Amino acid sequence: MTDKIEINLDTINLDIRGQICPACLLISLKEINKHKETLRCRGANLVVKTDHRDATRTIPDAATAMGYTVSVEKKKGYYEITVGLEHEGRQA
Amino acid sequence: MLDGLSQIFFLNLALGAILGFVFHRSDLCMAGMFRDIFLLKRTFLLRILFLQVVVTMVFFFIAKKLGLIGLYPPPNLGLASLGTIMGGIVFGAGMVLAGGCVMGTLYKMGSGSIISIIAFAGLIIGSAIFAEFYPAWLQITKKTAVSEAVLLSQLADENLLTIPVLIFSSIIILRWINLKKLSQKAYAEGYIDPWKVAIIIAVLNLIIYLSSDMPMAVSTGYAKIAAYIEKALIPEHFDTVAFFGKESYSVLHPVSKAAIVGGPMAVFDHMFATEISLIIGVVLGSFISAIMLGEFKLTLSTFPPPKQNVSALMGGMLLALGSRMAGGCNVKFLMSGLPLLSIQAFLFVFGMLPGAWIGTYLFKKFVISYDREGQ
Repeated sequence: MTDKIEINLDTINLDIRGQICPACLLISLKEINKHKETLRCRGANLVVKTDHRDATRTIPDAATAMGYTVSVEKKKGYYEITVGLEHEGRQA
Repeated sequence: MLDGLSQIFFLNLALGAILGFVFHRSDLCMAGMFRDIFLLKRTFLLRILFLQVVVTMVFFFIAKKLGLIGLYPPPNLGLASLGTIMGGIVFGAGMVLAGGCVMGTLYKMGSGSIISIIAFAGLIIGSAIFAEFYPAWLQITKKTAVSEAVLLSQLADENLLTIPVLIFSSIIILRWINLKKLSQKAYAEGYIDPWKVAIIIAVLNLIIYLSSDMPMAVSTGYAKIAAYIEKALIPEHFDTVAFFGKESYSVLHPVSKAAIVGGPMAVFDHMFATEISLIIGVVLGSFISAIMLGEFKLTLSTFPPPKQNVSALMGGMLLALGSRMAGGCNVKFLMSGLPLLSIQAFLFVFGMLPGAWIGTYLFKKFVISYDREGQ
C-alpha cells in the first residue's frame, strides 16, 4: 500500500468501513502521522471512508487539533472525511 | 386488556425504540466518553453525561417530593461492596475493547455493526460464564460490603444533600452554556445534539421509574437472554445453576400491594418487562434511524479485521462479567444511580475510570498499535 501512495501524491485513500471507534480514530491518526510529510509538504489529502457516524466527530476533532483542515461529505451509505492542508480552496 | 407486566413491556419497548433512535443520531456513547479522557484528553461527552445526571436528579427529586415514587430506594439498586469497584474496573476495560457499553453495543448493533453484534454475543456468553461463578462471588460481595445504606440520603438529610449539589451543578452547567461547551461541530446527517438527547433520556428515565417502579437498567436483561438460551440448549445443566434460579428483587408495592419480582430467571417477570423490552426497543429504534438515513451497514463486504472482532468478543464478555460482579452496569449506575446518590453508583464509577484507562491501553497495545508518534 505504501509504495502506491508514493506514486499518487494527490490522495491517500483509507477505507475503514465496517469498523467502529476507537479503531476508526486510531487507524486514521496512525495514517495521518505516517504520511505527515506527504500531507504537509506535498499538499496531498488523506481521504477516509467510514460508515461509523461517531468517526465523523472524532476524526475531524483530532485532525483539526493537529492543524489540518477537514471536510466531511456524505456518500451513498458512508461518509468521506478529507484531511489535508490545501483542499477546498484553502491556502497552505 | 393487557395485564400490568405486559403494559410495562410494551411501554418500555416503545421508550427503548425512542432511545435507540436518539442514541444512533447523537452517538452519545458512554464508552467513548470515558475512553476519550485517556485517548484524546477530551471531555465533551463527559459534560453531556454530567448534564444528564443533574437533569435526572432534578426530575427524581421533584417526583419524590410530589409523592409519585412508590419504591425508594428502587429495589434494583443494592448494597455497595468492594466487588462493586472490581466490577467497575472490569466493565470499564470491557466497554473500550467492545467499542461500546451495554447500551452502545445495542444501538450500534441496530445500525448493522458487525463488531457490535459480536460484542453482543460476548455479553451473552459472559453472563453465562458469570452464572457458574455466582455462588463464590456472592460470598466476596457479602464479606466486603461497605455500608448498610443503599443511598447517601439514608445516611444524611436528603434535602441537605441534594439541594446544594443541584445548585452547585447548575452553576457549572450555566457556565458551560455561556462558554458554548455543550455543543460541538458535527457532520453526520440527521445529527441530534447530545445535550438534547441527554434531556430526552432523563425524561424517559423518569417515565420508566414512575411506570415500572424502577429507574432504567438493562444489563440483567442480557443474563436473562443467556438463561433462555442455556435452558433451551443444556436444560439439565441449567437446572443446577443457582444464578438462573434466584430473583434479583422481590418486593411488595407499598400502594397496590402487588408483588414485584424480577431476576435472571428464564421466565416472563418484572425484569423481562423492563429490561428485555429496552434491549429489543433500542435495537429496533436504531435500526429504524439507520434505514431512514440510508446508513444501515450490515454487509460482509466490509467485515472487520480479526483483531477487532476478538477485541469485541472479549470486551463483551468483560462487560457482562463486570456488570454482574458489580450488580449492574453503567445504565443503572450512571443514568439512574448517580442521580439518586447511590453509594453503589459512586463506587462503580470509581472503578470504571481506571478500567477505561486499562481498556484503552490494551486496545492500543494489542488491537491497533499506536503511540503518540504513530509508530
